[in-house]
Amino acid sequence: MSFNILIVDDSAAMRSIISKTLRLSGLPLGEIHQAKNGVEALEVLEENWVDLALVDINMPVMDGETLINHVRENPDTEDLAIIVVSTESSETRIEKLLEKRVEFIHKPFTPETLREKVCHLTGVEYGTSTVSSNNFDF
Amino acid sequence: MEQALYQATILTFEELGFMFPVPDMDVLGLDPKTSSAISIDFKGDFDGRLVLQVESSMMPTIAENMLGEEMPVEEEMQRDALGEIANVICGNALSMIAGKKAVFKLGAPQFMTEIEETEDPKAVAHFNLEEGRAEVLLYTRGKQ
Amino acid sequence: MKHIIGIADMKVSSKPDDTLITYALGSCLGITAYDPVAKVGGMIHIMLPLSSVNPNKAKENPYMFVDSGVPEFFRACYKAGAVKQRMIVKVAGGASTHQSDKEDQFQIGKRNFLMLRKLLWKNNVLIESFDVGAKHSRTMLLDMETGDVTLKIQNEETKL
Repeated sequence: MSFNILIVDDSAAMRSIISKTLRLSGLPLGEIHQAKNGVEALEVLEENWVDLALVDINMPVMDGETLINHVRENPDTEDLAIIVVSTESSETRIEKLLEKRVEFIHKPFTPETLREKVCHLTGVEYGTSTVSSNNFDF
Repeated sequence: MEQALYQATILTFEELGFMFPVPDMDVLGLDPKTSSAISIDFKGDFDGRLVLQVESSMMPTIAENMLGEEMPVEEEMQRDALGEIANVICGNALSMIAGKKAVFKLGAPQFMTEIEETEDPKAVAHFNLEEGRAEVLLYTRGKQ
Repeated sequence: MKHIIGIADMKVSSKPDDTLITYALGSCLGITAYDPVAKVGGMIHIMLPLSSVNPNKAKENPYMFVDSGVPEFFRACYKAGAVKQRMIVKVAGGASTHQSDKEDQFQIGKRNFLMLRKLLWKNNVLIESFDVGAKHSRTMLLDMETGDVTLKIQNEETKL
């Protein structure tokens, strides 16, 4: 059993940070898909089975809130596990999001915080990391 | 307002960039020729723009730290990394200024080739880091 | 057997009946690494973030600094049989113990932890749990049989 994951963020750097953290978390990983906005994310969801999506809010083309609405309205994806990873600090907006059955991580976050939320949501205990060392590692 | 810029910037650089910004009492602006700037436009309880300017020599380090890379990071990724730092500073600073109920919509980070603001900023924060100097400027329009 | 790890020192063990202990972590960092499969691990007590402030000292004793000590510490664990991907890393200390404003400016405790987080992130290691900051001193124990890390803070014991 492994998890297929979708990372939706308009920043390539942030997608890379999230992806690296997932690989270090000891989560059994399948495929990690990436999307730059809500529209791209919906395309990925159309064609692939995804177990968990990490979604930014402020994005061009289609923002995260609209994406989450689409996901929850579609019977194929309505139960998708979602973690919102955003700078969003407005209680008004966060409350509205939480009603849509999502977890929330506030940016800036440390990799450890992200791992904790992901492991909590997937029910996986911290385990062996899947990053192989390279020559630069100690 | 200045306090919010200082707090949000220190938090963001520490958590995301593993860097240690110290507020700088020297209020001389950065030289545009040797620095890089990113702007974020926002709309909400009030509208405006946040500009993050850093000495260009810091760009590779910021990206390498964020990504956890020992290898050099390409320029496009360096800009993207700085953009994400600006985005996170902006989101956090605005909620410190306008309160937890306020709602803002942030635009995508824009890399600035020159600083074309004609108005004076509403607030400025200057920082010294081991890797170089940085400053954050906040411009507001309309209400507030 | 009980091993005491002094300031700017470290110890790696593979003996289940060993306990590693370090006292009075102030702004210093205590770091434990433990491979639960091999039952190999160790503890290091580090003083300062960067060896560049005194390269000669760092050559003499790398365990004084985060950037020179932590890689050495990890390598010593591998040598004793630990596997990196299985190692559980826990951190304590990094307090701000200086009371006077002038000294507090340097925020050594905070810098120590920031430097460590950067180094681990770049080397593909996440911290399992940590208790850092505040103003109190900490004592840290690692039980080599179980890998349990215990903190003693003002006479109260907690698991980390």
